[in-house]
Amino acid sequence: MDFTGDGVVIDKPLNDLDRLTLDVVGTVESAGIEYAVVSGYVAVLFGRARATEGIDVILGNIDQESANTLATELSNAGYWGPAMPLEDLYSTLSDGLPIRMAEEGHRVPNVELKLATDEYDSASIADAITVRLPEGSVRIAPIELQIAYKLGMGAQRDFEDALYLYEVAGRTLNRDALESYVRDLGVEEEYDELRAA
Amino acid sequence: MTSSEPLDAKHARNRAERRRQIQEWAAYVRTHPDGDWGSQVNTIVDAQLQSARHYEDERPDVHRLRKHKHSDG
Repeated sequence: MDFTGDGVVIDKPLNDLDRLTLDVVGTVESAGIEYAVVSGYVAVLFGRARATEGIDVILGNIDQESANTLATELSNAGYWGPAMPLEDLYSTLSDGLPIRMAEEGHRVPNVELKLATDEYDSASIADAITVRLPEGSVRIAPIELQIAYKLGMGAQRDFEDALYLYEVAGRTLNRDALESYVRDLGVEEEYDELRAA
Repeated sequence: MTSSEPLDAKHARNRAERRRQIQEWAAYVRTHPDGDWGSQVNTIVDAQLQSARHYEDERPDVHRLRKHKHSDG
């Protein structure tokens, strides 16, 4: 794992989640939509050995035309919406709801797409970094933001994801940025606990 | 461990042990080739997905459950 100036290079064999992610975000990019992958999958991408069935993707501004293009391309690529038809992608996202998709006929693994709704979602996209894998690239929210956000989620699994990212990124973390996110999100106590672990 | 050990103390001990293991694994990932740890992680990730897919038809459909709940309400 090599932390470069503008991202991370991970020369690892891909698992099924990695392949699904690369395929879906490639389609999102082709539709001209900005995005950032966030949450549990990011920890797994960096080597956290834990189970997860879902990949969370935040989308930037999207209009009806690009949403329809994305829905059509995903459908053509063999995906479906187990709970909501992909053709309803634009209306679902516009209503502030996420839309979940998976390979046709399956419900796991799945990808949940949602629109950016707050400043942290927007920062996840605007300040996203690129992770380069042997068969493609994926944009993820800044690791510093992921750590602070995870600390605020409260569940033990989220704290452990934050701890893992904190440990694996180590000296490459931007401490000023991390502590700024920690203050903004009001998770100073959890951050102290993280550092004391 | 004894049965008289307070539950909070047991949970704290388990939590500390989990965190220690996470830190050790992160150190391993930092210091070993990506192909090495990647293969080990993939064994866990792919096996869990395979298992989840095997049982996915037996899971309740969340969307259907929500509709059912609303129709009851």
